[in-house]
Amino acid sequence: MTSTAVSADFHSTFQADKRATPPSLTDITTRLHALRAGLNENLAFLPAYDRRSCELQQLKELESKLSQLRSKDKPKSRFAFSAGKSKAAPVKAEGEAPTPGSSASAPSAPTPKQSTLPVSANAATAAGPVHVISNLSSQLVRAPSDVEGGYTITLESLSSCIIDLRPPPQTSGTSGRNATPPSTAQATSIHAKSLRRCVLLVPVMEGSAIMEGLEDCLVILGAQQFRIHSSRSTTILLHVPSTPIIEHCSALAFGPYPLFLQQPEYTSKHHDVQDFDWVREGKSPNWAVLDPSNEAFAERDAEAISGLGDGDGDAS
Amino acid sequence: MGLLTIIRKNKAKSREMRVLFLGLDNAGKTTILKKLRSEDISTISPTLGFNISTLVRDGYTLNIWDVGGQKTLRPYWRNYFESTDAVVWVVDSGDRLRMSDCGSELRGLLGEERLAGATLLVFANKQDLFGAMSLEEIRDALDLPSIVSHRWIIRSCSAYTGTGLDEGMDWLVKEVAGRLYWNGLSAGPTPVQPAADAAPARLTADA
Repeated sequence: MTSTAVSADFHSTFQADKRATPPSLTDITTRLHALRAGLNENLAFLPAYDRRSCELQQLKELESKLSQLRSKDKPKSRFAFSAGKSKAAPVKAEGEAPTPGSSASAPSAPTPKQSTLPVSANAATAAGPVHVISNLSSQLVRAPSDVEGGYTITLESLSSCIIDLRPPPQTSGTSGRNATPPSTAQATSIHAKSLRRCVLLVPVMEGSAIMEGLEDCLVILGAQQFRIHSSRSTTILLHVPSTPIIEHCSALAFGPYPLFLQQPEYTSKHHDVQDFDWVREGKSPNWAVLDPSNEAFAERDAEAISGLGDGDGDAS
Repeated sequence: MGLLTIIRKNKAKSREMRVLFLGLDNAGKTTILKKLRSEDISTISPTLGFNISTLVRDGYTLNIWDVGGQKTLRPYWRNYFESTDAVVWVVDSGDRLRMSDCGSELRGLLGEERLAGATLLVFANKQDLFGAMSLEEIRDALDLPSIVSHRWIIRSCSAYTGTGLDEGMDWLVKEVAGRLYWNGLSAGPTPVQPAADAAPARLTADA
């Protein structure tokens, strides 16, 4: 739709305005305000990644530079309210419902592996921790260990990560004197957005999977339903009893779930993909079934990944 | 006898309601319907067009239209708006990434002239899952309290376990019946619970 055009437009004007920031302090302030206002205006059209990069990184950087300059310029004020609360909140609250994921990234900085935050700091809800894994690159992400029963997990803005959501390895019978009882935790549904060059390994789930904005990924997953939107160049090894849905996608390859990982009871329809952008006769050009010679490759891939699990005992 | 009375009497004779099931894709619309009809829910494929099903509750026949929620299908929703008595808006409570999309789609719907007066039931589905957003969070994310154009309620449910489905549909039927067939129910319109004393399973419009 037009939103991509709008966001592209905005991106270039934002960059140009940013470069053109003139030297005088008052000028800088007004220009910054204009930038901020422009950003706020376009917030609704911007994809999450741009929003974050414009708002959080670039604009914040400029603003902090400005305040540094100001503090040099002016005599230091004798009285100041403690900073922090009022600064970031208003703008963030505007565009969308604040996702715990975005607020989660800050406190988890020292161990940025995954963040488990209460639903909201002030609410007295007893909903338990929320599994939002966001804003990581080059990490190995494991299934959360602090849950019981079926859980839903959200992945957002990850690049070059391996995400392994198989249940944590159970302590074996021989060494299991005081072993913890086997975890009942299992991923039941998954929501993913903006993954680049990631490997996602998910056991066969009872619920559904929905993904958006994947690029150059390998997804190994079993689910009741599978939907993928606005993605490209991604290989999906899938076990699904219903027809997979693709929408605004290109260069997707669908193959069978590696059965040595898990043997689901139902037969898979991973080859019966429904493309919402292709209503004509014949097969959609946006996806292909992996041919059998490629499946060997896929299995090798998966074996390499399952090898990661074997090394786990040494790590912990 | 006024025209309105005649229309009402006519409608009362048929005791039918037209209900529209809408929401983003992956919300669980079809699964809720199948569960309500005690059908198998393990083989449901994403809805490519729409499903029609009939449900009889409290002596009323509900003609339910379940329209697919894929982005490509949403522009076609409006083809189903005519003479709709109630909208059931289904939300995937685990879908944090698209909760704002969900809110704006709902807003667009409520601005629709042909849906004016329709009762709104919001089902916060998939509440059986650990990590799902709470009812309060969803209510606020969708900004439901600001809705004044429609009678609304939000209820938690799980299409998988069946929890909350009957209660939600019961409220819907009573609410619509009370509005359409004023002599159909002795109790008349059910009093709407104020949001303040909301039971954990439901939050409602404050009249």
